[in-house]
Amino acid sequence: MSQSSYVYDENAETWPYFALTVLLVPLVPATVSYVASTVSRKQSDSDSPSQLEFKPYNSEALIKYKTKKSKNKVFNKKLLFIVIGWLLTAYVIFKIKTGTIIADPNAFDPYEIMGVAASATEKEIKSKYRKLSLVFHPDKLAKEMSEDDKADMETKFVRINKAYKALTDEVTRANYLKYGHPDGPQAVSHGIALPQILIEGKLSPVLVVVYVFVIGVLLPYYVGKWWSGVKSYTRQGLHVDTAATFLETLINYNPSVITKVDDVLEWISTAKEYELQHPDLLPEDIYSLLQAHINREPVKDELLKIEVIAVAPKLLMGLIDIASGFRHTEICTKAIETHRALVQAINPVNTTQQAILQLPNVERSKIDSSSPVHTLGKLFTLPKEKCAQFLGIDATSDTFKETLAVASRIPTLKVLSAEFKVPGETIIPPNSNSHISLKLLVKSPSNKGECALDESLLQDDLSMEHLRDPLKVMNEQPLLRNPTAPFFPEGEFQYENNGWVALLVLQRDNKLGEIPQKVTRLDTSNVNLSQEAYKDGRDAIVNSFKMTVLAPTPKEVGRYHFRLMLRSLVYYGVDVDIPLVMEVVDPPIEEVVEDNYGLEAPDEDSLAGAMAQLRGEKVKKVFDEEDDESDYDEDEDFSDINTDTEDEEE
Amino acid sequence: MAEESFIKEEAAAKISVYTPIIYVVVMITALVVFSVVYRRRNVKHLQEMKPFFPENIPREIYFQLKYQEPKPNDKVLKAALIRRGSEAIRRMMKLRENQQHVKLLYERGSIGDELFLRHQFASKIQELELQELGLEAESYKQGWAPTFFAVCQEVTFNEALRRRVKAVDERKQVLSAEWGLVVESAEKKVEKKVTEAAT
Repeated sequence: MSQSSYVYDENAETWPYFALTVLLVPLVPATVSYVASTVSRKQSDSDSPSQLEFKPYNSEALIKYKTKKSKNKVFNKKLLFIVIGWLLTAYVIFKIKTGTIIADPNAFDPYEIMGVAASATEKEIKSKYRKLSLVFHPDKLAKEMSEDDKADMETKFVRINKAYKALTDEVTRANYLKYGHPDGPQAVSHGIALPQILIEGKLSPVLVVVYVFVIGVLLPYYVGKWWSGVKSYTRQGLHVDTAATFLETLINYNPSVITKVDDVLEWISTAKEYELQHPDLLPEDIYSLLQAHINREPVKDELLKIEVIAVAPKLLMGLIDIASGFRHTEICTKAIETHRALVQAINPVNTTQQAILQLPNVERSKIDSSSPVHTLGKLFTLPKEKCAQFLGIDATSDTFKETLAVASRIPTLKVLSAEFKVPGETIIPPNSNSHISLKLLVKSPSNKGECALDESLLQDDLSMEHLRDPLKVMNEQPLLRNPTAPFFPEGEFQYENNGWVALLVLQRDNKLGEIPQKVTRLDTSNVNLSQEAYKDGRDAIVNSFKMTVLAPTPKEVGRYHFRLMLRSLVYYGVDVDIPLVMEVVDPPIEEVVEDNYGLEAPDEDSLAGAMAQLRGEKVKKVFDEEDDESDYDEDEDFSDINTDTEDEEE
Repeated sequence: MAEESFIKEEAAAKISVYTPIIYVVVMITALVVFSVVYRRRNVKHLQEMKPFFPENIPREIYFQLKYQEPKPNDKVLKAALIRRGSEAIRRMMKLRENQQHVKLLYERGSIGDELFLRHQFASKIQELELQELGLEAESYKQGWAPTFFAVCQEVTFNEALRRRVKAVDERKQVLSAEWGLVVESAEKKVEKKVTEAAT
């Protein structure tokens, strides 16, 4: 065994490398993420809707909020860390560059000594050796050389000899390959990249204390903190306490009471997020701020109000998520309604003209509320003077033009076709994975009548690629543009909570049949088409929306009735409700070869049965209780009492 | 190196018999203290969990009546017990009905661990309540329990129906407040048509 000893890094040769590694490991990812987030923010900023001339009453506070937000985004602790980190890195690199590196005298690389390439052949090595020995051989040295120089030359020649042997001689070569040196094993030294004073000197207790502190205190503390942080937020980013209050609300929900937008606002005002963000505010204060926002009432601290409003979309999405777990249609739709009430700052109670009120420059007190104009489409049928009169805006002013321009750009949906589909099938067989395929025409509310579309646009691409991933068509469509919502603070949540929510409701019991899905990818370029171009339909783009249905189609053949609701999260008057029928049909029976052995069809739950089912053959049904609890079960329905007294057991 | 091992040997000679014993004792006490504290905190935490349901008033009324002096008539007590039973069954049904939803949400990660635990606790508590009710019913009359539960369920269904019937007026008020304009104008139109038809 070779003898080992520790070599301390007294000359500061190695520790800069160690320090460099320690610095770069967290620094590089942090920098990359910082740059990526800054770049994506820049992109989304440039993507924001055209700046309106219209300035809402809270515009100053909105601008203040936005600058505060973007400042926080750019100048935060992360930036400080990155700057200091890179400065340190630069210093360390400077240290390494200026520091002298003493090569290990024991290091042995025969190729380097010989001055040949590692790929050199034996012949080349031999010729090189001859050339070198002509220079370095003791007999060939010049006479006038000093003794020192001679000795130096001699050691060099010995090394060359060794290197030559290492490359040509069998034994030396084996030694070199095994131990890294032609003479056999060398003394092994273990280096510690720290000066000796830290380990064996007076500073060693300090090092031990630091070590114990880092491993025994800091590490568990941060891991514990991280873990409790992970545990205190749900996967949807909602605080667990907020999720708990939402769940309690749903469990104690009284089906005989109608849920109102005010109720939803009350629920979200109790959220833990608000308590953490504004510890001095009571839920009642939050509630009154939310109310003030939808009533467009100025409050003393506008900035605070905007901060409160900005959190609300996340809470509402969390509520929708939990309510959808309960398959609760009413609460889901109310939460969506509350969402757009907050985005457009409209109190939806006691009016049916929300679609008009969401336009800029339109005020509730000025419009003619007795007029039967409720939709944007109707607004565009009015002659210019009448329209201006109805809106209470001067017909010749720029604001009137702006209002109509915004109105004409609100994407409105026209459903061209809607059906259940099973990839690769023309019918809906029982027990298969289906999806809803929707063909949508996004149009401007100012465009009327039918759009003469090419039939081929309505057909689904039936190529293999699309059969494998039916959602591909949808995912290739561009993301929706930001909504025009002048009263609402701009932010990331706007990009996320935009568009429509698709809710699939069972007609039988009015409960959700699927987890709601967002419609966020639609090409809205059609809104810029003129009436003629729209009617012509040549430039019109048809969008697809596909909603995967997680539950397999029912086992029993029959007609199942659904309702697909597309509810807009941001605009009024662009909702769509579509009745859908799923017609489950047995696949056409193929000629089954009669098996001569008279074997029975295999049991459904046996391995043979599973195989047979995969091949599309008949299997013997095994009835067990669990199977009967399918989502589309018909027999659980008895009167409307069932919502809170469903179970007849006990 | 040699020096080091020499020091070690000397130190080994000095270690007394008590050292390992003290070591073990200290270790065990530390672990015991930790486990006791941990368990206590756990139990305390569980006790502090908020119940899902608001206060169970029929149950309170029953206990108040039962321990009242002078003791009320047996019929009064039985009626109160049936009320308590109907509330217990209502809660049980609610929990049963919601069980799969809560489980689904938990699996989806939409609710936290604690909430899921709370829900399971609530189910356990309701089960215990039903057991207690069975014993209580038996104490009034041997063999009453099966009929008792059937009666309680009837009461629960009846109450649910009543709640809905009673809510109709309230619903009307809420809806007309929400859709005030439509209801009014629609009613006026109908009225106008009716009077037109009449004349």
